[in-house]
Amino acid sequence: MSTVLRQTNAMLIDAYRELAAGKLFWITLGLSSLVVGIFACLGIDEEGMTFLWFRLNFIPITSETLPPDLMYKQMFLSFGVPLWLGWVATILALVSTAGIIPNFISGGSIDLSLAKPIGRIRLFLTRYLSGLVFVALQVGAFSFACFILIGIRGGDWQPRVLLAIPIVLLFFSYLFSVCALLGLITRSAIASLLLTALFWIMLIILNRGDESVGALKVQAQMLAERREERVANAELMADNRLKQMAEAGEDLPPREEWAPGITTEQEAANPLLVTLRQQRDKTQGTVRSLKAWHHAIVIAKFPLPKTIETLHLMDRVLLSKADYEALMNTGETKEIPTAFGQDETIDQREYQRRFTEAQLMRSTTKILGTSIGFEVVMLGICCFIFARRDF
Amino acid sequence: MSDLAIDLTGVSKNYTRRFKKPTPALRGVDMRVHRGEVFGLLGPNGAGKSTLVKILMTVIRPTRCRGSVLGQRVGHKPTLAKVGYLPEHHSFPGYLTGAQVIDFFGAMTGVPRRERKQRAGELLELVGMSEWSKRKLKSYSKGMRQRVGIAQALINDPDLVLLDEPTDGVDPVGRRDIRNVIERIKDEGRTVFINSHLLSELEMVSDRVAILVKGVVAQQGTIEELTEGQLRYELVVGESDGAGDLLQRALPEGSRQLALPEGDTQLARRIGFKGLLPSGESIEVAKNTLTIGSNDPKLIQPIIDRVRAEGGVITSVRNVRPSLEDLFMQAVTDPTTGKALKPGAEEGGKR
Repeated sequence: MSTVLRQTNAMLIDAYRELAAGKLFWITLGLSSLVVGIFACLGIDEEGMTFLWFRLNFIPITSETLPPDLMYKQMFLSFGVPLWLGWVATILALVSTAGIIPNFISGGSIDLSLAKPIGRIRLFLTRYLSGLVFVALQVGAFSFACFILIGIRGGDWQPRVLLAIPIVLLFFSYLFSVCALLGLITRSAIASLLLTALFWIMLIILNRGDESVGALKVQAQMLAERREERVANAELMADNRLKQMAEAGEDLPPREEWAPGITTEQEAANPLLVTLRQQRDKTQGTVRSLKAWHHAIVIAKFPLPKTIETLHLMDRVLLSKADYEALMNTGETKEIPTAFGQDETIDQREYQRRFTEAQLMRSTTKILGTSIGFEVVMLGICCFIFARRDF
Repeated sequence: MSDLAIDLTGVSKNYTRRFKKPTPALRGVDMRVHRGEVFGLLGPNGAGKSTLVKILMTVIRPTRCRGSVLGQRVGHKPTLAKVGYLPEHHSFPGYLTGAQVIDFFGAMTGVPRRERKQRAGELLELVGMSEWSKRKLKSYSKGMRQRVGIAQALINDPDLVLLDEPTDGVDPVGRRDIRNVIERIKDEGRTVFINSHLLSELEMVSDRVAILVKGVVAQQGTIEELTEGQLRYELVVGESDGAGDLLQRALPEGSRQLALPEGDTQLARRIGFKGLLPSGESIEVAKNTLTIGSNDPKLIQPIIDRVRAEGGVITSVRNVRPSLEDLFMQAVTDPTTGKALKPGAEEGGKR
């Protein structure tokens, strides 16, 4: 084994020992087991969903509308990855690992590491990698347990479930790179943890803004289409009316007698067209405005890590187009009110389909490229500081 | 291969802080450490000892440095594979056992696994920690951690071992053990560089020493070299009220008294008489002891005769070599005021 491998190996083993010595590691592992246990207790058959031997009649889903394999995959994708791994486990991981860099550079500890035949940049990067051991082990254990669960209970042995390991690890590494930089600058675990949490909250606000404005944009677009359709119908009606009047030899009232706001013969033939056109124009204006806002948010997000989008890559990995269709068609179709007024409704399934499509349209390369780019910049600054600092 | 394990010329270090004047820690250190010797580095607080050691171990980047460690330029990382290091105020991870600490730092130095395993056992035996090897460090006392620290510094079978305050927090038995370990390391042909405040400890094990004062080497050499010309005779008479006067009366005719520094009442109380013999050697009478600053036994003979003629009882006559502590005190005492220099490497102040 070369010296480089020997040193890397030693640092990773040391990181494991450090984490295993802390209670949080075992608490997180225990909670992960509990989450997988709860998933395993849930079942689905022709009559509906069950939890152990209890029937969950309040959930109107059966195995005919949602096959068992899809249900378990959906649980993994809707709760396991974004809620458990993306939230709770990530918070616990940040708490566990926030001290890794500040402890590493503390007096008496860093001297021994720097006095070894290993370059400063490699030393720092290896230490950074060792901080990811916590998440790698936790996500590895959880994903493997879910892989077994989906295989046994859902009958689908889907190795792609294990892709959650690199994806969640990547997601965590974005935050950990910020935490490492802050730890290096402040030399304090608590300060770096709090500032990283603030950074994460900022990302969440941006992401929620992106999602909300994106959702409003889809709603507004659907509404605009619907109103455009209404205008078209009203214009058709007006044209028919004008045609009928022409055939009957009737004339429209003189222009001076037209009601205020009516400017065309079509509108004179069907005065409702004025209101409909106004509503359409207003909605189109809203669409343009929402597009501009959404574009601004997307530009603001561009240099930042795409945390939520990275986690949602698991959906793309695990769900086929047919799975998406099946999930969309679960439950009854209905009209839902839009954010632009209770009396204006849109088709829920169509709305979900368009929103999901818009999310899926985002390029994987762009999501990963910009996020990894951000991480590289963070680590570059860390390496610059670490290589030049006197300890 | 060079005969020198460490060869430094003009090493300087200024600590810079934004918007503040740089503060010097080292102001041009020249130092030579020969292979196979035990070298002691002394100095008052803030003299720059730890800064110098950290520069050698690449923990700190020097402002200016010409020199080599084991024949390679200072800062050459691969050379550190042949260097063992025990820092001052080290903090080994409490979640590791003694054996794991040694194994970890051995791996970091590139020692193969099999070799680490074998050497770890031997080293723990050497520092008397075999029975504690499987216990976590958090249960160790400071002295025990220090012993494990020395063991980890030797895991890579180093040619050069740098020990920064190795006996810090160690009890007298432990200090003796560490001294024995250092002697054994030396017997194996390795070079040992010790930075310590315990002058008596250093005196016992060091072949050569350097005294660092205010960021520069004030003195450097073997203790014999440094005390050459400073050998003296001490004549002690039986304690009585008139012992001091008796010794002053026994001085040869033509001896001259020198004035003590003004205002230093403490010195005046300790030294009753300070002067020069007619032949120019210094003399000092303090209570019942007469000190002549010469190694020539002929000078003491007439004084002995006179003391005896006056009825004085001579309890001892010794040819005395200054201790390391004397050398140290000389180096850190301001010759103009006779007072200890202020800490720090800045001229006249603490850094």
